[in-house]
Amino acid sequence: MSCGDPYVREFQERGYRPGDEARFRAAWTKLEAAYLARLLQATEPFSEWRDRFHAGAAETVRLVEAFPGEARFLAFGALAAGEVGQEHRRALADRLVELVETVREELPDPDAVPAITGAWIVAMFFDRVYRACIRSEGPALRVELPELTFLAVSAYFGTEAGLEELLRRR
Amino acid sequence: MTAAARIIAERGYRQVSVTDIVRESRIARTRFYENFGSKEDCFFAVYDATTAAILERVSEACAESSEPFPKRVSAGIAALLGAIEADPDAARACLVEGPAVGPAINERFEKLIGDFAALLRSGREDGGSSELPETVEETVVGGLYWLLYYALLEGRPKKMSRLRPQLVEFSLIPFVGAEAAGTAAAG
Repeated sequence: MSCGDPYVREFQERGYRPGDEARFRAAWTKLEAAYLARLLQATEPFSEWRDRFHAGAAETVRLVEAFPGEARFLAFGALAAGEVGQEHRRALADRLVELVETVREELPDPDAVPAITGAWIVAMFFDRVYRACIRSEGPALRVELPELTFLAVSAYFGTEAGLEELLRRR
Repeated sequence: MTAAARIIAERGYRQVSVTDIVRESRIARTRFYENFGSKEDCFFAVYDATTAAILERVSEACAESSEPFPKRVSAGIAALLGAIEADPDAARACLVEGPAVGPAINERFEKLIGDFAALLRSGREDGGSSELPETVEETVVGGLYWLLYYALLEGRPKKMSRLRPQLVEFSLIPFVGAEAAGTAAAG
């Protein structure tokens, strides 16, 4: 997912500065496109939502581990950039919510699940990535993957299905 | 501190200077520096006071209720949303602008999530959810944080109470199942 953009390295070293907006936007756009392409590639082989969700989550974790600087830029650094970062972060979250919400095609009664469920799942996942990026110690993000899948499956298919998924992924 | 919270909520942490805070507060610059070493110090004072007040309000709401776990969670979330609606500037300054401060906020952020997760964890025994991973409460609270972040970012702090049923439902599903969570959310 590395974009090779020198701005991301600069950003890590000295943070966001007034006048950075154009370079920030360019670096973000490249990284976001690379991340979404990897995500789609990882989830494509699976027909069932649960498998696609787990594959997408696992790929995200792999990318966070493989490209910590880029992950910090997207998850944590962008929010320190103020309004421009908040705006981009929001747009990425919206795109991820759309992907998560494809689950409704598999639900017998799609309207029975609250409309903001996808946003909640993305928010939980983002929180885990965010905190993995800011802390120097604590459990590895990968260890938390089964729990995140459990919560996502529970929210759409019920707790029993979530627990089944948890046992399958542990 | 009220004036500092207001101007930070309005313009964003990065766009506000000590000069702006001093002007908004109608105090002398020397007075500001008698109390705070920097803009960051001032922000942390707002952050600590606001988050402590919200946590206290939520703790009280949970403790006051002698009802079962789902009702206590519902009362806690109602108190949380009420606190945000009561002082939307302070809430936005802390929840939205906190992450804009940069790495210096990290420890406070982790503590905030941990404190609220501890409240939720206190009802785990009632929910009979011993099979759940140990960090579920932190994950649930983290998700709530970012949902509130986006709601505040979109500038709808006065409509926070409308989120209550969904937030209650999500917070409870892992512990008591969808049916009981739905009942508590509707109550």
